[in-house]
Amino acid sequence: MDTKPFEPKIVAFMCNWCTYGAADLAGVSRLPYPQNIRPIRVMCSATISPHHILRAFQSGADGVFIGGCHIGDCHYIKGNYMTIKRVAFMEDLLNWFGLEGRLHLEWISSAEAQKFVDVIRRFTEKIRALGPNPIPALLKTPKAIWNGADDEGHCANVA
Amino acid sequence: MKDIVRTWLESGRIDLFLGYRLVDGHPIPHCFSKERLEEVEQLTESLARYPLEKIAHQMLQKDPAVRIGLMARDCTQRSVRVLAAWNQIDMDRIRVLTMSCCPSDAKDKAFCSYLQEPETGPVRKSNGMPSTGDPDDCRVLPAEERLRRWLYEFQKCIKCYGCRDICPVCFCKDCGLEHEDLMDKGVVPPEVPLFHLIRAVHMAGRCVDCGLCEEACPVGIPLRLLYRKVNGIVTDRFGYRVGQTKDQSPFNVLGEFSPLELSSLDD
Amino acid sequence: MDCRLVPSVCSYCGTGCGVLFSVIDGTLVGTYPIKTHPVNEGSLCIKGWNLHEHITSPKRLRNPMIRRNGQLQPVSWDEAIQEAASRLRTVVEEHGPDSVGVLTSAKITNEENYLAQKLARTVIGTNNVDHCARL
Repeated sequence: MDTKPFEPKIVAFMCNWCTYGAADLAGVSRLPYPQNIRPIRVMCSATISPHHILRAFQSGADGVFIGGCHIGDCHYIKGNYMTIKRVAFMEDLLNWFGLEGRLHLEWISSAEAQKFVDVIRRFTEKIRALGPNPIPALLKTPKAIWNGADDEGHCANVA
Repeated sequence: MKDIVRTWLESGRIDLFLGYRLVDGHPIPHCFSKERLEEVEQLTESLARYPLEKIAHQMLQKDPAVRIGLMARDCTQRSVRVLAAWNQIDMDRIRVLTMSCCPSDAKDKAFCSYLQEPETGPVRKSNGMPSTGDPDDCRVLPAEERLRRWLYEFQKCIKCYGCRDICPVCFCKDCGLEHEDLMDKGVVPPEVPLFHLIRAVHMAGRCVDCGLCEEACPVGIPLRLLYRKVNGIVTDRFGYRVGQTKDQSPFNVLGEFSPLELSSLDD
Repeated sequence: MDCRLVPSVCSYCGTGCGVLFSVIDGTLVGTYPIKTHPVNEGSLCIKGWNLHEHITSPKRLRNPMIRRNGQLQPVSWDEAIQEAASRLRTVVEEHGPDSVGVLTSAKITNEENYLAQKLARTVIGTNNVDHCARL
């Protein structure tokens, strides 16, 4: 039996020009924050396509955090206009699909180390309360999902 | 209808006309031309649907100067508009001949294979997703149950790519579903739910809700419901209706800043 | 421009799904399932969907080749048939006819498949015959 308490794995995509700087500043300022995030530095939050978000969840991430520049501060002028559209869309899709509240976008400038620490702390607590990503467990137990062929004769494709 | 096509071909308003004719009792798409005018006599309406606009798109890629007439249902017209919005076809090169497809008291016949509701047995009813109805109907189920049901549907997938191949608005030369950095190439079954959700994301702001994907799916995944949902999100969030305008979907292009409400950490 | 849509039967396996080829200016550019076909009812598998690709595939073998010193070299049909026959004869003489198996293809006609099994049974003398379309 695995009795270790659940520690969420959070993939954090951070914009090179802001959130990554904030994380750096938090480190330099010795501000403690949860170690559950796996930071991935990207050149702009707009480079994160829905592919990346879905890939993270597919690989078993419990949460996905995206940090970008405040609107108007984007290094590439309009990059974050795209980020907000994509994240808004993905939030709606994931909520409907059954992965509620596991995606979060926050605008954090490189000076806002305290905000970064607060957001990461609160997001980690939120994911901790939500529990682990249900996809890997559901895929591992195909028998629990269904038995044999369905009424239309379609069989499960269980690897 | 035959007279119109004949007049169009004779007057040279179109060079070719894509319609249907019966071959051994099966309605099969056929390309009518001026040189073989006598074939127009065989022109027929068809219950079975084929992506005629996709064939027209392929023809226009070979010869951009050709003028094509299309026997068009409502969904065909929507996808022609979407293809034109994405600069895939030139509207001036396409002429549509509307055929009766959606049922109405004003018409004596409606030609669409989607009018019959698919039969669903008890196992699918208790484990799967319904193929018809409002995509938001499933919200009555708890999140975990919705996820379980979608995974049940997606796990049937045999990765035939039929949904993509028949889709009239799937025109990309490089497909993200085949890219080796994004997908396991040559591996069956696909990664669930990644494969289907990525396709769903790509359908957002583009799907014309024709239902050909669901008809082509050998394992009966309720794809139309999924794509209707992603389109619904685009409509709700950006106020864009696919196939109604000449514009590209704001979800797929950068455009101007759109203030959107995102979830906060407090709720 | 010439565009034709040709109904046909998928040649990959023994199921016999109805397919529709779209031929534009003499080039096969696409495959669609026949919606009203009683076998596949408008669906296809991944192989069926890509039927048109093997016609224009650059990987397609265009002439007979013999591997010499680890390299495939184009040769004439006569030479290739001679080589295959003599090597098969050696194998049959050394290890007996049942050391040979004949696997045929769905890409060739029924008559050619018949001839292949005839060759296997009467000339080589083995019943080891199989076909990729056997389900």
